[in-house]
Amino acid sequence: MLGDFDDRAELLGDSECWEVGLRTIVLPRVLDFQTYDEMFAEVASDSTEAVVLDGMNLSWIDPNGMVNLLAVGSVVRDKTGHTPRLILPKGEEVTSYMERMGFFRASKKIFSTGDLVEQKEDGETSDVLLEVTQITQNSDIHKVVDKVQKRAGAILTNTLDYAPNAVVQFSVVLSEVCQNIIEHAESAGWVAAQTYNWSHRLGRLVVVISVTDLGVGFRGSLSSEHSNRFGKNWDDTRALEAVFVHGLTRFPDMGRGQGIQQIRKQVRKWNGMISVRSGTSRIIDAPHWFQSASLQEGLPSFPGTQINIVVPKRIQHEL
Amino acid sequence: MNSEIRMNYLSIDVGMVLHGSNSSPSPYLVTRTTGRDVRGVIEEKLSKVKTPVLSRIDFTAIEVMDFSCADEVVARLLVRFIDISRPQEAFFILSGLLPNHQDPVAEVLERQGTLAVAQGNGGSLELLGNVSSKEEKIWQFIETKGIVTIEEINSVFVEKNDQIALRRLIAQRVVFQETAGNSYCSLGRAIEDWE
Repeated sequence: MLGDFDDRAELLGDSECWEVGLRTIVLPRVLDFQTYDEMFAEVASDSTEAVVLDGMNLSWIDPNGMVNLLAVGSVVRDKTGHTPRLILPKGEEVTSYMERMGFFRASKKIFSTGDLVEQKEDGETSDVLLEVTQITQNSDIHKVVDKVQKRAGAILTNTLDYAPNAVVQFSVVLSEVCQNIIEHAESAGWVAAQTYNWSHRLGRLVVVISVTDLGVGFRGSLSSEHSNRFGKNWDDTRALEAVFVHGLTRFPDMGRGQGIQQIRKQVRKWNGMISVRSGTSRIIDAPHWFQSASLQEGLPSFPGTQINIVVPKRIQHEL
Repeated sequence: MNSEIRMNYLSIDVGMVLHGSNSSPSPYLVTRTTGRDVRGVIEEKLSKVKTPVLSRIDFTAIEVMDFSCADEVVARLLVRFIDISRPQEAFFILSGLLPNHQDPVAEVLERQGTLAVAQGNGGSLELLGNVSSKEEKIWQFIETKGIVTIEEINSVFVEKNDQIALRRLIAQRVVFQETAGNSYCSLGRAIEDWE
């Protein structure tokens, strides 16, 4: 859908706006792990038109929504050669929450800055478990673990009723999931985590962890080492199963490929849910409280890998 | 049997290595890159000590250990010195392992098919990894005795599988075979001599 002339002029300048098209992508009202595929579908085409992402009616966004909005903005920017513009939600609460989650700081080089809220460098607030954090190198993961060790202990034990050592396991999960970006994606990525009250969905508190990257994806990472044995059947689904179910990696040596396996094991112990999307497929380890097919295929093609983890508040009879 | 064990000793505080390496100084032994750096420093320290060497790898200062680091700093380190192309004769005792370290360490040892000796807070030693009941029994026997002659072992453990189990313990370097003395020595006895 094309935006109006004013949008185009503002985005590109009067002379340039006649030379390239301009497309508006309207964001869903709720942008979370169940809706971000809609955004991906909008940018899956080969269109090189400049893009406005219209978040005017956005009323709810979670870590999945934020990190994948950044991913969409990056894809659009790289594909079109133009920095996309993001129209902010009209609800001040949503914008304020995005600011506290560090979304605007992370989006500086991705979206045009006209309407973006500037965030102070030390603008971390106590209600945020882990702000949107870009992962490009080893030291970024150390910073993530440091933040989580300092902040998550009280939330996990006092609010979610986990044992005191759960914070260490939580840090290990984050470390392994972030390493997936550096070791396998060969590209930058983002991570974020936050606690929510899923009163309608689940009737209890949850922690949501989301990680996304724009790298080669599981299929790309494994192709050279494992595609031959699958022949014509080699696709995104087989690659996801190879990593998620069988613990394969592109590295031939023992000891590799345990990251995702261990994350899965730990999330299962927590009665949590984990989903991994790569290319056009998504594989899900769903607990009893989340009704979903374990495999989704034929999704809109999108670069990289997207991981979503939901850990619910501990309940005695589930121990 | 009262005999002196000819062994050199090296204690390595992983927290200090982590602090002094190029990686971000922290009590967090996380990421494969960091693990590789730490293992490199440990190997370099070992290379400066005369062999055979018994090294205590101390994890007391480590708050968080992820699976990638456990693979590099524990499993790969041990595998390197078990391999016949090892750079030197070295034996290891892991100490200061916290309950939170146990899952990653157990997982990587099993994955690499490696055994390890760990020292608890009270000083007692424990065999970690995918160990059979027979291997555990022989290892405990040697640990209890401290030093055992080949004849003594052969008289107690007479089944064919016992010899296979013993050979694995020696190959995994969780017991020390004295080449001159025709005897086997427990790492517990070796560390007692050190202390």
